[in-house]
Amino acid sequence: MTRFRLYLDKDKEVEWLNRMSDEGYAMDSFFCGFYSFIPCEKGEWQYQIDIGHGFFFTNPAYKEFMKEMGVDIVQNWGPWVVLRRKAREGEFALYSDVDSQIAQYKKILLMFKIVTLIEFLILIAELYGACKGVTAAWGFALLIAAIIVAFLNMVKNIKRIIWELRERKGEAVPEYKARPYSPLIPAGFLIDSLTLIFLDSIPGPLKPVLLFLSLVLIIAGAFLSVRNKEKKF
Amino acid sequence: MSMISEKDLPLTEAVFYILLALRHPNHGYGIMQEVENMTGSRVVLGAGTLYGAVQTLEKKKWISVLSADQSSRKKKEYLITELGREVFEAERSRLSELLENARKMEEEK
Repeated sequence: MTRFRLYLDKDKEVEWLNRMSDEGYAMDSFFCGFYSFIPCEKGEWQYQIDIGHGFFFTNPAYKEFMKEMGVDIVQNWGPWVVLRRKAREGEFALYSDVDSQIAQYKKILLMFKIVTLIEFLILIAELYGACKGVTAAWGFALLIAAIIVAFLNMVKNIKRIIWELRERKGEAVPEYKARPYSPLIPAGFLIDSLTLIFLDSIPGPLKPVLLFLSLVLIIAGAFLSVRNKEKKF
Repeated sequence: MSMISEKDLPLTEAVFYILLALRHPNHGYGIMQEVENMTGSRVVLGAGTLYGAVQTLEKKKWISVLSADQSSRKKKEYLITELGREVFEAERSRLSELLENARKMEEEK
């Protein structure tokens, strides 16, 4: 069985993989958003996702260590690694104290920051192309913009998790103020972007409707994001 | 002179128990089990926590890798070093100061 999912949040991904295992499906490989599952006993495995101590690959020493700890490495994906252990061996937590949890999220934060920076560079390149008169480049620029907003939200999310962990540790941390952007913004960018990329194959009367819709979404999203600023988590 | 710097202490609970479990040669899984037994399952070290700590302790030379035989299928074993013992001792005396002072709570009610 194969399922297609795109996850930015590894905690949500882990929840989903464990839910699938509870239903009798063990994930056994991953490629570009395609997760493949094979039947297992209900609740046989517990999954975890870690950043494998290397940027482009998993450190061999880490792999060896995990194997010795009785942990299966299911899949490597860049720096990410999907791990699992039989549920009967007890609760499978990779990081058992606050210090190491903070260290893990700091590594994830760094990775998201680097990738977001790379996306910004791509955005600049696309905008340059767009200014040179390539219409599709506007579409791709907006697509990248949508991705950047989603990544910036992840950066904020991870910072908030680190902030909560530090507070739990008893550190005196200043109040956490950053609030996520409304998902309506990237949704608007996405519709706008797809309209521009597939401009020629979209029926004429639909074009202004889509452009208007995306504009409404972006404005509503911007409004909600500003209002979010006053809200508490 | 001792090589222990001030920022080495206090040890985290995980590091404290890992050093203690390495008073004799032990491998990753063995460390986890010993700590779990010693603490009556209160401290169960996660594999990631243990990996990170072992890497750091090895870098600080508080523990060393024992089994040099790379070709064998034997699990990698670690052991506390002299420096590691010094750090542990410093932590032990810090903790006994804590306990000594804690008595005041009962004595001066």
